[in-house]
Amino acid sequence: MPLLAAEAKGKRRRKKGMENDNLTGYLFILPFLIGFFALTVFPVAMSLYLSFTNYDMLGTPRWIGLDNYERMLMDDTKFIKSIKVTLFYVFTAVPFRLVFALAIALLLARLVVLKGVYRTLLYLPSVIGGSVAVSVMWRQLFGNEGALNSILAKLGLPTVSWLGDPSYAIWTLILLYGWQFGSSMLIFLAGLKNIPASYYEAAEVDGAGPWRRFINITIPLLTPIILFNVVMQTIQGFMAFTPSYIIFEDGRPLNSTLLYVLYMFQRAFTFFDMGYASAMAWLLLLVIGLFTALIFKSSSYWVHYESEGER
Amino acid sequence: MMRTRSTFMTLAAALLLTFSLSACSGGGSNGAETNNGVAGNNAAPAETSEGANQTEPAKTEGGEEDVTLRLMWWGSQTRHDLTNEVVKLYESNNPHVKIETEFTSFDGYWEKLAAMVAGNNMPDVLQMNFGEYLTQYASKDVLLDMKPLTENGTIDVGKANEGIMASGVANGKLLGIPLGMNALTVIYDEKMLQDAGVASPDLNWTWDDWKKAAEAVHAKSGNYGTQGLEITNIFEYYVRQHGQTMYSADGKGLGFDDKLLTDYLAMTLEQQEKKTYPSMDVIMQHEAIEDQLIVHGKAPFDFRWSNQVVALTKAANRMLKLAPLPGPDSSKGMYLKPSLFFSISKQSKHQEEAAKFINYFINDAEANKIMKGERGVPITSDIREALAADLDETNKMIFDYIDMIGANSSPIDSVYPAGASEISKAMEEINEQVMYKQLKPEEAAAEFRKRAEEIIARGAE
Amino acid sequence: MQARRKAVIKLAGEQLLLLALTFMMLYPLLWMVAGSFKDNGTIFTTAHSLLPNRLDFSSYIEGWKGFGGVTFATFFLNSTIITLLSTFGSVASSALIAYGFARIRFRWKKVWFVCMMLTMMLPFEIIMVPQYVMFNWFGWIDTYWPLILPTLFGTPFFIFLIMQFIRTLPHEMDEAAKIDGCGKFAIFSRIIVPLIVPAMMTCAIFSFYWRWDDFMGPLLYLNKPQLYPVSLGLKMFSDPDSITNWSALFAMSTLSVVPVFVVFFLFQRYIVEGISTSGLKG
Repeated sequence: MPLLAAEAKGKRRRKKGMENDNLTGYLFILPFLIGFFALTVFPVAMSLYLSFTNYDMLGTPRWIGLDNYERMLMDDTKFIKSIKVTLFYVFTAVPFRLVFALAIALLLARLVVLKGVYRTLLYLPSVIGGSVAVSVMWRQLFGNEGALNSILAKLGLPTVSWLGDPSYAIWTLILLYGWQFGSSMLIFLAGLKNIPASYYEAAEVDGAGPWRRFINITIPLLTPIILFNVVMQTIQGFMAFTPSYIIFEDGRPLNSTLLYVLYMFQRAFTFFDMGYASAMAWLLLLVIGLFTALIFKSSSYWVHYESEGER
Repeated sequence: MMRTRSTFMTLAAALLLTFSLSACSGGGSNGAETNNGVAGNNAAPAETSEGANQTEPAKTEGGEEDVTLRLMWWGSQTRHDLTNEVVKLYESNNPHVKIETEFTSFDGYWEKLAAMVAGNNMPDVLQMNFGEYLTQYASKDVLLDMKPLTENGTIDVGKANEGIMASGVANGKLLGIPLGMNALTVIYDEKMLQDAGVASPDLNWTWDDWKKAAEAVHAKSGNYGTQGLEITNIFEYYVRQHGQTMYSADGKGLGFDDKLLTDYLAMTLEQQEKKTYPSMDVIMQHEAIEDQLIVHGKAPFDFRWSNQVVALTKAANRMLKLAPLPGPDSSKGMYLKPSLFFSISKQSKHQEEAAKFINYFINDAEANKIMKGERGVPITSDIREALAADLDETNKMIFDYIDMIGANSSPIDSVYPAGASEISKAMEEINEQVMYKQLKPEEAAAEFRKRAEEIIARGAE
Repeated sequence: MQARRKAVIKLAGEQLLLLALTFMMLYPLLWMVAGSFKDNGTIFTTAHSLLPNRLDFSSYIEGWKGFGGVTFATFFLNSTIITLLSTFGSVASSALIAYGFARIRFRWKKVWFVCMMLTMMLPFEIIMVPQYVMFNWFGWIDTYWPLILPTLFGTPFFIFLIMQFIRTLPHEMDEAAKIDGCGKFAIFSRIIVPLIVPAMMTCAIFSFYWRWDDFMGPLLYLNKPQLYPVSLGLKMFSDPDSITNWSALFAMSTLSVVPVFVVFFLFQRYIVEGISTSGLKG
């Protein structure tokens, strides 16, 4: 109904020759606004309130002001540890996954034979991502006598205690994250296909080689999609916890895999410390928000939009 | 082609919008009131009925009122199947009762229950765990004190093991009825020990015997001499066998000397250095019960709860044997532990009927023949005897073991401070730090005390 | 001739590389499928081997029986209902919202965009208790409303994704349509939608998988096992204390991947053989 009304309105508008973008704009984003106010605002506001309380989920929250935030920053060594782990994780795992996904997408995009089959098969790892089977499998794969070490040994390389050595354990998570590159790959693929073939044809006529075409056409026209992937993967990287949860359970060894959200989860549901966990979540929101804002700020320098005027 | 597609989209979008509009107007106005739901859930009995009574038809029939009970538990396939069978049997014996079973995995159970408590939507009967969980729920006054129900005989616990019944009491209230009994046990591979020329453990074996056996097996076969010990459970036993307790009687501090923790850590560290005790990566690789070292024939000993023996022997596909934990004074350290509880929600409108079901569950021979001790060895001697004839070899061994421990153990310690789960976690972390040689055992013991006392102090605030 | 041989070598090299890569990537999946044919007792003792020692479907039969009389047929049906409804709703509304954000200028647009991005940055675990209380108030517990309805208001991830795709489209097309006398909605439905089919299909694939795999939502909001989706069913095989029926778990996990696999295989062609290029030319 409202949409039909919008169209009718549009017609009237054209007759008058007036632009009324506010109304149209709000009509288009109306579903979001409704969902936001009816379903999202309350839980979100509630969690903000809870972050200033001592709340164990079963009883009544008790207002304690900034105590949670203070305790977090002043005397929680596990919290500091989890921040270090998470930052390292985000800044290695995210670029790793993105570069890998882009490389595979480029490879697949030019493939002629069996392309659908490969696309599907390579997407599959993302589909069984968090299942129990993977956790069991991953432990077998990275165990001392696991497949990975036997390959290393055959190549004459030193073997590594992937699960037990605190300096390597995080790498198993980074590999796991990279392994589930399917969704980023898919988005890149869609982006690559969105680049009009005519551009390439024109460049070829101009005598541009494959590398020049890649640098001058593919990359610039893909930047909006790259931006999307960088933003979303960064957000998801910060929020990741299932891989650590299913393989290392509690961030072992020596909390070297204690991702931020895993620790938050532990505080909330193992230690019944929901107030503190809420405070952690809001601090996380600030941090992710900051990083995202920086990425968006930087985007005006490197992201190329075909529809320049409209921002 | 394109045309039909876009018309279709237009229609869908229009539908979507109209739908969402009508749905939201109801939601928006409720939002503000909901606020009270979280903030003061205990103080709002009026809301309680809102959530709970959806499922309850109020018609009467032939004198007895029709009731619908909600029953929630976690478990695996076997438990789900068997419990549902028992429920059906109960329903057919009590036509006025309908039981809605809500069963889930262990993963997520506590999150769900917490949300239910916050939303005043708890089931009538629910499965509960001993220790930190019961303590946590006990402090919030959301579970029913079943003492009056046991006193008036609705739940008959006359034949139940007294020590085990005491474990369901917290803050002076009987909040959980134990559904079965467990005990810590050492599972051993008799053949591996024989091959190394070591005698099998008996009631009087000691930690020294354990070390010697482990070293002999390691020297003989190069295998590990033991599985990695889970410190929280094993150390609690260690403390008890030395006549002390994990927590002081008032729950406001630790109940043991630092020296005990130092000794314990030094003992396991020494074993690790001798390579009879697996390193951390090996322990982590073999997380699942079915994947333990003993299953693969890589270690002769495994320490765990007796109810896990079934899974372990099944995976090992050979007979393993049970012994109490190493002494001296193992009977001071050993105790019977409730495997699981059934608790009744304080909000339940059918407390009496809920209690009758629990009574049936623990006392009815037929029901227990269906369950076959899936939730641990039954707590009453009558039921144990009734089941004895039908038990398979493994379960018979477990029942015998529990009988033996029943006669050679001391009551369970059921004092837990708020924050006990965080303290357990701290202990695991300290243990790791020792195993990675970041802390010396005595430093670790001091560090643990410091952290534990901080956590207890915060919980007491 | 030379060029032809070069092309063949290149093709063979490409295929070889992809084959090796695919095998590596799929190893865990293959392991899971192999496990579903193994006897429960031997899963861990024969963990290194990919080939089951028998081709036995008994774990499929055993697993399919489900729990307490609720079979996997029910779980699959429930998953299908939840997934299809929410995927369709989510993608359609996300496209609409995305167009609004990407192509129309209106007041406070940036504010709403930031609000939308922020909703993605709070972990679900933190808002789930208040959300439960709210949905409980609405009387939605033990219904599919909490799982389906929120998706009808758009999913931020999809909105942003589709936005980025719309922004790669040259603006002249809108202008041309405007000159033809089209309103914004007509531009959206007739010009933009066909062009962003690849993006929408990408979203559909993601949405399908996410909904299919979602565990926490159904766990919280559904009480009756008759309403459970597959994701909940799978978790019920394992328990930290008792016997986990691993082979049945793997068997049902394998089956549960099949629909996701099929949906992907069917939809992926729309992503790559998109209508976009032809649309641009025409």
